[in-house]
Amino acid sequence: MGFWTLAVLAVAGGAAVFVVNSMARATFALLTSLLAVAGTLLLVDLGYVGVLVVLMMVMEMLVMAVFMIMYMMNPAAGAHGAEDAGDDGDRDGHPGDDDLHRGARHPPGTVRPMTLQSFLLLAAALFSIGLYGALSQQSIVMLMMGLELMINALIAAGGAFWYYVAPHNADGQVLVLVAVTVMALEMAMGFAVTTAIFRARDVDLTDEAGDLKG
Amino acid sequence: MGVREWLLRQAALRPRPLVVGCPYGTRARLLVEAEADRRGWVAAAAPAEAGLLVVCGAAGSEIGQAVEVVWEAVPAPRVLVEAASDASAGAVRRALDDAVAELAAGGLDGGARHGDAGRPVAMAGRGRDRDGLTLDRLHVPLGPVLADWPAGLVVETVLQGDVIQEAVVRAASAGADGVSFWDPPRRDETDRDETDRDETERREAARCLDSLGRLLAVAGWPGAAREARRLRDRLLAGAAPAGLRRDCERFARRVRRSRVLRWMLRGVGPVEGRAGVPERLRGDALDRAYGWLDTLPSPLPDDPAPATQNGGSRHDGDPGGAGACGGGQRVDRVVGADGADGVVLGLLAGLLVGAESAVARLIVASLDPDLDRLPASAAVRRG
Amino acid sequence: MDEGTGAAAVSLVVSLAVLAYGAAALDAGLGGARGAAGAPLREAARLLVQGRRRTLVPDTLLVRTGTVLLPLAALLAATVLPAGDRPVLDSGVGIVWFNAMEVCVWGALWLVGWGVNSVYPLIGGYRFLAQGLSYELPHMFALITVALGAGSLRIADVVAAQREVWFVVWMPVAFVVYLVSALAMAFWGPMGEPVGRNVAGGVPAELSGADRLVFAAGRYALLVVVAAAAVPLFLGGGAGPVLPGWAWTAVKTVAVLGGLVLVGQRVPAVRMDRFTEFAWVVLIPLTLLQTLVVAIVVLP
Repeated sequence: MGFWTLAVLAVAGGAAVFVVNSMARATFALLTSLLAVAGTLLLVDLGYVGVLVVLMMVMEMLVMAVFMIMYMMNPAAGAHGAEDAGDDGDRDGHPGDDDLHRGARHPPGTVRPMTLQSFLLLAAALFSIGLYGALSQQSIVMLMMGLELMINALIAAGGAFWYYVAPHNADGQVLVLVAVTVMALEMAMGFAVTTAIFRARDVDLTDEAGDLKG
Repeated sequence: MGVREWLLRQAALRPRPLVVGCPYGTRARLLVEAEADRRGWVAAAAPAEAGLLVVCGAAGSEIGQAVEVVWEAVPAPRVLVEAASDASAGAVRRALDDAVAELAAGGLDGGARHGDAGRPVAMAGRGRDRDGLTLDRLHVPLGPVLADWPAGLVVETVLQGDVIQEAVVRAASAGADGVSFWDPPRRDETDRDETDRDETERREAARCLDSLGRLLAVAGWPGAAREARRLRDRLLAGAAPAGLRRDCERFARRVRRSRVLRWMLRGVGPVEGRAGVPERLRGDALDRAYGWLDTLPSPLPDDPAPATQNGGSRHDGDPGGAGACGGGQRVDRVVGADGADGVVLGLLAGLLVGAESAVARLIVASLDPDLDRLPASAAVRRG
Repeated sequence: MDEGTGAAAVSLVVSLAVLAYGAAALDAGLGGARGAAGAPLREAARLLVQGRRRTLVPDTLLVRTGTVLLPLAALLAATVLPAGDRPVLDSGVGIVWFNAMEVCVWGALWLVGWGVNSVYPLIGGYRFLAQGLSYELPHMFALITVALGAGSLRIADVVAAQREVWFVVWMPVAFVVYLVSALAMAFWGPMGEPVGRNVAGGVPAELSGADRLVFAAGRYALLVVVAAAAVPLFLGGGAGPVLPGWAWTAVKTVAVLGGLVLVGQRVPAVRMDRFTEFAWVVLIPLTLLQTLVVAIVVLP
């Protein structure tokens, strides 16, 4: 029960990132998704990693919020390229969502127990939303949010693999820690590059920064 | 008795006043502040926090408009009190009593939702900035209605992030003509006798305490700010000189001892010693604050020398040593006659550009110009 | 949830509320208010009858979330602190949990500061992030030192490890750094720039009525929690002669809390443009050294 609530929250938060009309809300939707996944980690006895993810993600998202608002000329008026993306986002985001609901309903009257499959389902849903975001968004910041969602999926899957497949050695936990580190690195590198491009050319859209393309 | 009535009456006992100083309203402001302190009221920092808006002195058209905007932002129950420039202490007390009674009865309702009165949303434009990032520019006027802010001063700033990129400094038009409260009554006469000399000194010390109160409040040291204001009120009341002198010295020692204050004020708002810049403005915010401390009355015996040396020796190495303000020279420095307040207006814009908002407030408070001493045609300075 | 946990949860909420009220009253008393014991009550009454201020196009959802998050984060952080013999949530990673909940305060302040769409709250929100980035690393190292000394992240184990010598005795640097960051976490006193008078009250500048009440209550609760956390982490928890454990915990908490409130009136505000440098250049190496010393001591 707890798992499905968190899973739905994670997926809904992830989908909301590319649907809501304000950058600040998008960040906090992403944060909701990240925290929900951290919650699922707590369910599989990953206490330390789960709490650590909470700690890291809150800090990361806030730094992200500052950067994002800095680059957006008009933060309240929403993400670049999100206008036409809203519908697609629903379509891409909701299959996973629906699956989860279906999962939650079956068998009738009881709650389907938490399994490796359910974790993988959550991870798949989050990954596809993230992939969609990374491919469809033009703003570098929104693109990075897509990447974060994909890594978020990795965290969920890594934690589940550890718990269900190989709980005796720490590989799965290390994988999660690596994923969290990658996320922080992605943020740091991403914003360093963005700041450099923005400073030099006043550009924060990917299409205008494609000069390394072959 | 209904719960709401009971709550209103409880609430009315401790309203949070937002005190607005207008040109030539210093006297009224001092009375209001003293009375509020006597009643144990804590001053509000923002309109949304306040329940009582106290306008001291005559607000001209410009400040009047600003007051109206601020009044819109004060949530109900709320009461507006106007203290005339020449109000007596009794009148101020009565006005505040009436305000409390009115608040207990529910105040003027309907103010809560005035904030969103159909003003169009101004979108921030962009411009070059310190770090080479073309960030959004935000136009933020500081003053004339702001807590712990010199009466009538307006600084129109352009902010990018937390940093001031442009600043225009000017004096809001006064609603009336008058003489600065801090100038002793007979300062134009040349044959000053002993009592006048004392009076000059006393006023000047009180003014320094007033400025210190402001600076310390802005520097986030509420305890010391309150002490400065209480000393100021006692000094102006002329009460118990011996005890007062001792307390002044204790206060000065306490402020000087604060390492954090030194750490925070050192190097803030540096003013070079150019020609035309009065001695007491030179140095940084810390020098000016210590300069104010030097003007405080020191304990008897009458010879002020020990205190001066004491004060001077503590910052021997300071550029533009504010110690020069102290002791025996006090009387020669005719208050306000050095035109420092006008000079400040000229300096301010240059000092503010590039400063963060927190530092900007400190810079203004450390210079604390008294705009009532300006000649009628106050200039606008850009930076 | 068994009965003991339920009782512990209730006593936690009650003691949190009582201590928060006490802190508010003490602060009012030091701030020169008359009848300080009733001052928080009157202030609460004032805020309850006060109307709600609406700014131009606010993001109400974000503001409300942030406002409520503040006391919530304080409460959640408090769940791992042992008030009597055991905490409400006896987590094996209590120290990290405490740290994570305290970081949620960053989120709360930023949400409120951004959401109301007004200059001063926004600047306050920015400032708090700068403050967070300044204090967080030394703070984490201080907590790590404690965990290292006890060999556990469970707060009960930390208390048990102090049976002989309190951690404050042989980790003085970590303790002092913790106290500084405790002020910063609760944006209190010298670390209160995000809500400073020089930005017209900062983050909550546009809050009024019930919103402001919740925000203020959350801030005091936070102050209580950071003070209370110092007791099991550094001051031996409930250890002490004669009195029972809970009483010693209360006495020590009140002492730390009183100290923090007093500092709030006695010390000027610290600006991050100066403090950040100090935190990174002085405090981080100091805490690292402290960690090194502790590591050598506990080396088997």
